[in-house]
This record gives sequence, C-alpha cells and structure tokens, in this order.
Amino acid sequence: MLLEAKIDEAGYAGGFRIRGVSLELDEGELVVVTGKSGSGKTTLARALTNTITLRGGYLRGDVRLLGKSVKEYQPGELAGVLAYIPQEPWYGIIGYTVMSEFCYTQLIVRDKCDPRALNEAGLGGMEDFITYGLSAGQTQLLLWAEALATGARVIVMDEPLVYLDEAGRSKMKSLVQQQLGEGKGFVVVDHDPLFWAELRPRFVLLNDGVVEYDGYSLSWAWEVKSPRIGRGGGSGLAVRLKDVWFRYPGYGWVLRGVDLEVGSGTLTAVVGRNGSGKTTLLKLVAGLLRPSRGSVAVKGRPIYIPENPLAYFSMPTPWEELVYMAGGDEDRAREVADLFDLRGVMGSKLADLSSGERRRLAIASAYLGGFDVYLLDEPTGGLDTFNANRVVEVVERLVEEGKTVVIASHDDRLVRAVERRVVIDRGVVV
Amino acid sequence: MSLIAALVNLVYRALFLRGEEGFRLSYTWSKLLYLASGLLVVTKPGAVSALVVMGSTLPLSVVWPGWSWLYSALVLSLIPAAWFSLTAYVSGYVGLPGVDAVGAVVVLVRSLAVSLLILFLAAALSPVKVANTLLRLRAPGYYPLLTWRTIPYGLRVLVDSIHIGVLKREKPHRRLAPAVAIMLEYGGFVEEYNWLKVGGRVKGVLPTRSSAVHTALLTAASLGLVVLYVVLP
Repeated sequence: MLLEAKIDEAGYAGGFRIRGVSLELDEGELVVVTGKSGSGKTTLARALTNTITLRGGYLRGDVRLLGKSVKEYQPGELAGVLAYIPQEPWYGIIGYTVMSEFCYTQLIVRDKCDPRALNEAGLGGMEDFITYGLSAGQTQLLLWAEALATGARVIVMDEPLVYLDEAGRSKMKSLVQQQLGEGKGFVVVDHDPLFWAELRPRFVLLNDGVVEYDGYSLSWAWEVKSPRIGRGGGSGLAVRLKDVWFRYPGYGWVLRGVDLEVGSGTLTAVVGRNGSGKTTLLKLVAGLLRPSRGSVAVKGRPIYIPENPLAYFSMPTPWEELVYMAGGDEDRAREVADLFDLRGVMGSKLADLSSGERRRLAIASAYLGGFDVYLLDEPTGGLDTFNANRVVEVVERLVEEGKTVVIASHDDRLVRAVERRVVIDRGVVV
Repeated sequence: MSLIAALVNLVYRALFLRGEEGFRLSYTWSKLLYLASGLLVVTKPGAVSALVVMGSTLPLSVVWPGWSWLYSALVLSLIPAAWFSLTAYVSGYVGLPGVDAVGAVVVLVRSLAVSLLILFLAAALSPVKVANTLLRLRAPGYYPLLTWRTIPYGLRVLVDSIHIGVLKREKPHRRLAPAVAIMLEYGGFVEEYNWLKVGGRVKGVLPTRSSAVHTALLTAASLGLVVLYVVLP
C-alpha cells in the first residue's frame, strides 16, 4: 500500500473542514477526487501532503506513506516519496531558470541532477530559460518533470489540467498512464473527472467536506451551457488588429502579423497552445502592451481582467470595490451585487474569496465601470461546472447588453460553448 | 504608461531580462577583474577616464545582455548621475563647495560610468553560482534563486496592476495595494508549496556551464583598461 489516510477531521480553526475521509492508494492506482468548489478537494490534498498545518490548519487522524506517518518524514526524505503539484503551478517554483528549479528539487533526494525528465515533459532546450517567462502550462509541465525525476512514488496533483492545452493534456494523461504502469500511485484533484475515465480510476466525490461517493463509476454533469449570444450582437467593429507583430525585449516574436476583427457586442474565444500568445494578444488589445509593428484599434473603453483577478481590484472588499466603481452609488452597487450573485460575500476580504467569486466580482466591478470591451484571461480556469456556469452567465449578460467580450481560455467546456473561436499557433492566427 | 510603470519596466529589463547565459556564464574571477580595473581607471580624475570605462562597458553590454538592456541601463544610470551632477552644481549657489557647469558635466559622466559598470556586473551576476557558493557553505541555496524569481514576478504584477489602473482611470498610487496583496498571497503559497524544497537538505550543487568566450572578452577588456590606466595622463 502506497498511501493510507484515515482523516477524522482536517481543516482550519473556525473555518472549513473535511470529516471522516478514508483513502487508500495501491501501487499503479489512480484516485480522482472531485466535487464542487468548496467541497474540500484542496483541503484533502493539503492533508495528504501534510501542508495543511503550513496554512494554519490542523489534521486529526493519520496519513501513512509507505507505512510511515507523513508527519514522521524529514522533508528531504519525503521529497523522494511524495510529489505535490499545486493548482497554481507558479507558486510551486523557487528556481529562476528551468534548470536551476528542476535540479534544486532533484538534489534534495540525490547528489546529482539528471536532466532527462525535462525532455520527457517537453521542456528540452529550455534549460536556461527564466521561469517567470514560462506560461502556466509550461510551469505545470516543469513541476511534473520534477515529480518524475525525484522518483516520488505518490504524486498528488491539484487541478493539473487547468492551464494545459489539448496536446499538454494528452501528454499528461499518457505520462500518468506510463507511471501507473511503473507502480506509482496518483491522487488527482479535478473538477473534470471524466477526463481520466479511460485510465479506470477510482472516483472519490466530496460534498461539503464528506465523501459522498467512493467507487469506480461516476456520472458527473460537466457541460457548460452555451451562451445565447455568440456573435452578431451589435453593429460595427469593436476591435481591429492589423498586421500586429509583438515581441518582449530580448526575445523572439510572440505574435507575427496578426490580423483580427472583433464585432461589437460579440463573444470571441482566443485559443491556442501554451505560450502561443493568447494573453499577449489580450494585453495588446487592452493597451497594456504596444505592438512592435502594426496597429491595434479599439472602439470604446477596454478592460483587461487577468488570470489572477487580484491585480484588477482597487479596494479591499467586494462591497468597497463595487461602491467605488459605481462612483459612490450604493444602490447601484447593491443592484449589481444581486445581478452577479455576490450578495453573500460583500463583506469578505478579497483574499478570502474563491477563484470563482473573484472572477465574478472583477467582471461585476468592470460592468459598473461602464467598459465597452471586456478582455478576460482564463475566466473559468480551475472552476467546477457549477461555478464555471455562473461565470458564463455573467459573460452572457455582458454580451446581451451589447458589450464586446474576448476570452483567452484553455477550458474546453467554455471554448466549445463559444461560437467564434480564434486559434493562435506560434504567434499566427490560423 | 505611467512614470512608475516605466521605471519598473526599466529595472526589470536592466536586471532580470535574461536567464543563465552570456556573461553570467563567465568565470567569477573575470567579473571581479573587470570591476577592479574599471574602478581603477575611474580613480583618475576627469571625464576621459570615465569615458574610457563607458567605452569598454557599452560594447560588452551589446554583446550581452543586448540593446534593450543598454537602453534601460542608460536611462536608469542617468537618474543618479543627473542627481549627483545637479546637486554638485547647485551646491555652489547655496554656499557649499560646488562645481561649475563643466565640472557638473564631468560629475555626470563619471557617475554614469560607475553606475553603468555596476549595473552591467549586477546583470552578469549568476544567481546559480551564488546559490552554489551558499550550498557549499551549507547555507540555504534557494535564497538567490527565489530572489531572482520573485522580484521580477513582483515587478510584473506591479506593472500589470498599474496598467489596469490606467484603464480604470486611477492614479498609480492606488495600484500599490493590489500589487502588495498579490505578493503577500504569493509568499504564503510559495512557503506552502515548496516546503519540501525549502526544508530539505540539498545533497550536491547545481550544474553550471561556463563560457570561455565571455570570460575571454571580460579579461581582454580588463587588460585594455589597465593599459589605458597606465597610458592615460
């Protein structure tokens, strides 16, 4: 048995907790933990990896790895047994180049660094590249390469697909399959459990901190409803890019001769591989970046809402943010809070909001700001179906009101639902 | 673009634009040698010695990190240089020992030369080699690596936040709070997700590469500076 967890209770004092969770993981077994946002999936991952106490939490019960309590392991010893790939992969990196990050982790468990796993993860040739220049998907693959290289027997992955393109997901699945064949065990936290179905996993469904289902079959509704307005909602052009070229200082071209027209009052999804230039395109439209060549014309006021919406906000609580953006009109702020289903969190700190709440709040705030063109970077990344649907509803509302929305996303559930897709491949719109 | 965002971008480009390449791969002794010879030359009074040092540093910086570094470093170096020059000039008017207009230009050139030299060598500092030194001393080797990762991350967050503030028609100072909030969140998560790396004892040193070409260039430049030091009046 690779892992045995008997968790009586784990969570945060006075806050959320999971209760009565038992989990066993054999060699070559894949367990997929799923459930709505806030059901306790990440808390379980933190309990299994003994990181919950670092977040001020507690664990009552025992988690045993290879027969030894996880609390008894020294960090260096544990790194050779367990790997944890977090949902936000950029937080899992301490090295400044791909090689220094990769090797630092490996040197915790052995005295020499073997770079072969970098090639397996598709990062060969990027050894000297700076890690803050990697896309989120590439960062995830780097952490994956580290997990392979340390020889960890148990790998816990929290939402590993969020930032991966289709090719990256297929690669991830085949690597997991290969590692399962070598006797490793995986605990995967995922809002899209059916992705793993062909690997015949055991599904654990969490609901409000308790296990609701533990078994091998699971039907999980995950279809995102289609926005009602996909195109043709307005008249004229809202965005026009003409022969746009862009590169970051000191690097090669990210976008090469991009021509793009987006109609007013429409919804457009920009899709493409990791590092293909989707975010750069949105930033160019927003005016956050200037094209190296070519021109960008936008009709009306644009707003860009980044992957982590914290960078968008101006005030510390949802209520203050909405009142601020409403120009002090509290009635209008309340009205929009209702419209975007934010009433329940108005007094919370921004840091305490879930990813879905943050994204809805950012869009609501921008809506109050009266912007015309909304540029949303991965608006449903890491959200379960229920919360992704709520974001989609908010997007629908914007489009219905004649606003122009451009989304950069890897989320198949969302992209499939959008009528107009713009595919970028190696800096070129295909 | 706001002034703060422009300054942040300059710092980013001057120090964090590149990975483990170029002069970062040259041997440490060659960097120290270049620093010593550059400082030796500027000990000679006047503007000529400073121009000699600049004439050596600028071509080297074009080889690596490149033109965009050069532009950013020149603008950044001009800030302290102009300040020193101006204060030296103005001092004369308030009863302190000061300099005339020509003297102010000399101060400007000399400050610019030293500032560029230091920025160039700061850009050429290899965090991996510093990490290895710390690891050999059994100290936590992740400090320089994490520093070189976190600072540019923070700078980027700040620039994005300032730009979003421009779209929201806000003053730049309002954008500091969200940037700080993100960095606090970042710190908490980095601590959590990297506890095995931070808490574990590293058993070896990080692999490094060396560049004979870059080492030779720095050595040749250093020798050239020493010769000019002897030749210059």
